[in-house]
Parts: sequence; C-alpha cells; structure tokens
Amino acid sequence: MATYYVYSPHSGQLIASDCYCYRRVSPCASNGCNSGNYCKDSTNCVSCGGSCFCNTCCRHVIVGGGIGNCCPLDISAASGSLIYAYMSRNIYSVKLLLYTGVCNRYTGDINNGVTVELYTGFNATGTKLGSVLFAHVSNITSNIGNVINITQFGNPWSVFIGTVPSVPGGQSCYLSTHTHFSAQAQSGASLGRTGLGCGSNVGAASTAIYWWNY
Amino acid sequence: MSQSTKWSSQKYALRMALLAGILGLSATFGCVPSDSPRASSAPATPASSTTATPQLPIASPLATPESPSSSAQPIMTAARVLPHTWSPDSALLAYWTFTPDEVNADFTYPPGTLHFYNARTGEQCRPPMNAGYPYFGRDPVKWLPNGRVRIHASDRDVEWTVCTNQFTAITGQKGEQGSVIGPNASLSPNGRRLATNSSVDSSQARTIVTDAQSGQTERVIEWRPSDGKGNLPAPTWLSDDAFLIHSTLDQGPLLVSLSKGITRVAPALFGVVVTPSQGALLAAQAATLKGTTTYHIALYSQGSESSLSKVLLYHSENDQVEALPFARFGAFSPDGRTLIGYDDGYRVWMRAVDPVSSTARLMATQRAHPFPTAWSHDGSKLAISSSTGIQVYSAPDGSLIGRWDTGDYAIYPSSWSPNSEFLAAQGYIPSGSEEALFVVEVH
Repeated sequence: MATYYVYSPHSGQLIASDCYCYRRVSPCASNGCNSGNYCKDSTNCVSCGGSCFCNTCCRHVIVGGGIGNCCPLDISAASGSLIYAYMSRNIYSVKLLLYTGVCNRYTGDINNGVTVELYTGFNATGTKLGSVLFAHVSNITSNIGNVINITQFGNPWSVFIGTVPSVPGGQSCYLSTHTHFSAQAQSGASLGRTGLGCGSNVGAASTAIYWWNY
Repeated sequence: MSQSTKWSSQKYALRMALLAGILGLSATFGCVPSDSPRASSAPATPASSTTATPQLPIASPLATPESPSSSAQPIMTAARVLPHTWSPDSALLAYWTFTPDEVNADFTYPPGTLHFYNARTGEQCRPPMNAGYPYFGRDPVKWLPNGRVRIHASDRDVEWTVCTNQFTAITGQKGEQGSVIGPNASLSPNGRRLATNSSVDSSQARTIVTDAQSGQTERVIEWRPSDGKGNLPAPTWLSDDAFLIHSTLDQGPLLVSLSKGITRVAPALFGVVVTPSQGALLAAQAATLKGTTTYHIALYSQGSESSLSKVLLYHSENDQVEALPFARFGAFSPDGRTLIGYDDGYRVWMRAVDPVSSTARLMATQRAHPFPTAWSHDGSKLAISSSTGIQVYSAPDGSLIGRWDTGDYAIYPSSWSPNSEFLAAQGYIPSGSEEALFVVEVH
C-alpha cells in the first residue's frame, strides 16, 4: 500500500474544516446556518436578542457532497494568491475539470472551481485514486478538460489551478478570501484529511491536506 | 520562499503603504466634499445590426462593441470596498471600507467602516455611529420613507438625515426594525404569502409557506439541498399560487402549486431525468413576464460534468421547450423579458425570452466564466464586467449604452440605483492590493 499526497496550494491559515472556525449558530435559533442566524465565536447572538449564547458548530457546506465529496477544508489566502495543486511524485497524472455551482445564488469567479482527478499512471491510466475540488477560483487554468502528466522536476510537482478571488459585495457565499476544498476517494482507496485545528498555519507545497492510501 | 508566499509579502507591503492613505480618509467624520469627479456616461453608439444565429454561437463582429469608452474615476479606494444599498430616491449609496489589517484577518469578519455617498452632489460622509458590515443576518442600514436612514449598531439605533448633523437616537422598542425578508425568502406577487427556504441540517432543507399577515403556516415542503455555499436562494413566485424551488439534490427543481401540488420540473416539463450521481446537478431559474401570467423556466446543469449540453427553456404560454445556444444559464431580467447565458467559449449572450427561437446576441467575450453581471431593477439595462471596465447594454435589444474604462481595476458590477440612473461597481486589482468603488451615471 502506498500513500499519495496533495499539499496546500498556498500558505495561509486553516479557517474551516467540518465547522467554520469563526462562526457559530445560536442553539435557540430556529433556522440553520444558511438562514442568517450566525454569530462570531463566543459572542451573544444578536439575532436572538442577545440572550442566547452561540456555541453550536456552524457546519461547513461540502461542495460536491451530492456527488460523493466529503471532508471540507478552507485555507485563507490574500486575494490574487496563486493556487497550485501540489502533489507527491507517485501521482503520475491528473485530469482537470471545471466545477460550477460552488455558490447557491451568486455567479462569477467565486462560483467556479476545478476538480483534479488523481491517477497513479501516465495519461490518466493506472488507478484513479479519487479527486480533490479547489473551489472559488479566478483566472482558471486553460487546461480544463486536459490530462497533465507529472513534470520532470519538483517534489512535490504542481499544476496551476488559478488565483484566489477578491470578495464581492452583496453575497453570503464567499465572505473572506480563501480556497475551499473537498475530496473523494474511489473504491479501493481510503481518504485522509489533515487534523490541524482552527488557526493553524499551513505552508504552500509543504503541508499535506489530503492523502489517499491504496 | 515560495512564489505564493513572496506574492503575499509584496501585497502586505502594498497594503501597509495604503494604510496611511486610508487612515487619512477614515479620520474624517461627518460631511466632507468629494474631490473625485463623478463618472459620466460614455456616448452611446448603436451596435451593429448584425446578429449571430442561436444555432452557431461563434464570435461575431458584435463581440467587441465599437463605442469609445470614457474613463471612470473611483470615488473611494481602500484595502476592500463593499457597495451596499441605494436610498429609494436613488441619490445615496451606502458602502463599507476595510483597512489592510481588517482584510488580512477577514475570516474573523471585521466590522469595516460605513460610508455614504451622494451620487448627485458627490458628497461623502460617515454616520454619527459606525455599524458593522452585515455578513450575516440583520441589515444595519434601513432606508426610511421620509428620506432618512436608520442605522443599527450593536448597542443602539439612530435615525439620521444623511450627511447632516441631524440624527436621533432610538431606544427601546422604537429601535426594533420589525421583520425583514431575508435573501432566502420571497413574497407572492400579491404580498399575501411568504415562502422561505431554510436548512434543517446539512442534508435536509424545507420550504415553509406562511400567511404574510398572520404568520400562520400554510405548507411545508421538505427536500435535500444541493451543496452550494451561502444562503439558499429564495423560491421564485410565478403566480399567487405557484413558485419554483431552484434546485434539490433528490428531485431536481420543483414547481410548487399550493392548489395543485408539487411537480418535478425536469421530467414533467422538459423530459429530463434527474441523475445527480453522474456528477451534475440540475438547477432551474424562472421569471414571470411582467404584467402577464406567462412564465418561463430555464433548466441547466451545474457541477463537474454537464448532463445537459444546452440550457433548456420552457414557455408556459404554449407549453413549448427549446434548446438555447449556450451551455450555461446566467439570469432572467427582473421584468422577465430578457435572459443571458454563457457558452464554453467564455462568451455571454443576451436574448429576448419570447418568441421561441429568438436570436441570441453575443455581448462580450472574456476569460472569466461566468463573469459577473447586474440587471437594473426595471430590467432595461444590463451591466457586465469587461476586460477593460464596465459595459452597459440595453435589454432586450442588446445595444451598447455606454462603457467605462476603469484602468487597472477589474470590476464587479454591483448595485443599480432604484431608478436605473446610477450603477455602483466594485473595482479590484487582480493581484490583490487595493479595491475601489466606482459610481457611473447611465443615461
């Protein structure tokens, strides 16, 4: 069995995994996290009149959950930061697919993502380990739809995905500059995700965020 | 140092350099005259009468309008600028700015600084008390019928005549703003019913229909939400009896008639099978033709793989379905007469909704996909972000009204004034160091 890694695409802080790090929902709110009853960590929930302490996890939406993705993750980065898929050298090829519909009700860059399918062989052959979705992407790579084989140099090796968008006004999908991830494993492979906690620093190309055992 | 780390460091230096300028601006309190000229409309040049056929969405000479552009100057620059709402008389714009330090920690949801801009006079000012940007929940800026604005801060409310020293502190019950319809709820055309979409948990959502006056629940529909981030979109009312739920994971879009029951839109109206496991999710948007009972529904796919190669359009007036010449749907205009869509060549198209097989017109081509757009409230104008700034088109004919060069700033066209006279646009430097607010006058 071997382990195949995808590393953080840029440096930044971990700001969400299964729950949003700086966002809570009041236990007395009748609606969920998509209904505006948010509050910051350890503050009184204004929308409940100030009497309800906000201490319930505000669960992070899993983009692509309906098609088998799991294990969400958000890593902060300044707008304009470059997004690369950094991968261990035992991943021999990837296929890039455009993903639309990251946001429920907003179009534009923040609604776009790139799904990277991972293969153990050249030219998308061998075993398909699974995929990782990079969501909220500007200046998306022109390689959408293409298969890219491992480059000769670099450990990890990398494929350009795009850049981190700025935050548009008037929407609730993308409130801070970051990259959102979710991933899935194909049958026979098992998926792992970093156990780092809120506020942990991650390094571009150095912090493994997902891995597949096969 | 990795390239991305180096990039961030350079931007941090730029942001710190910018801080001094922003502090100078933010030290001002009350009314200040603006020394930034208001952008004016570029002379409109009628676009060519040549149109592309809907069957062949290939770039035509229409792709680049021939109108000369005028230069737009920002009315404010900051590390981040977020336009908000216009006053009912279309004169005043509320917006927020953020310091570099706030932007560097934006995931902690910093409050920012609230500003107001008078588009008729160029005057800029800040309110007597700041209110934090509304990331979630209650909007702290409420425009009042008497021309004043009520501002809600953490500890109190004030009513203020914008850019004057006349304000009144509101205490106790008077400070309550009453119920506000959120982005996940919508009123029926006659205002008697309210339909609200909300999440129960990560795998279940419900639509609740209530009597808008009494609050009594009339109907509850449960469904599995698709997996987009942000607020669930509000249901779209097509009549006083029926509304559309845009996307569900288990059933696709739903057409709910309170008198007739629930229809699965994809198979019933379009003959399309819902197969979310194949990597695509079906979604729909709908609009009623203003002043009529006719409505149209656009069906399209989203996700990694497209199960629909073209957007499908349903016409209620004749029960017809047609395939549009592009793969991705943009939006209907607010009056329901026009629609926009995108093809895989990163081009945006405009088309009159009726009649069937109307000619689609290529508006622009650029790298972003799909790029942001903003309809005026009456549906007569469409603003789009172009590679050089802002372009505004007339709908549904697609003629160019004007365009504005915004220099190094890429644009999110954000918010039209209620009378469609002014457009607020958020500018950003693609490398991330600065943002700007533009307000252009559109004749």
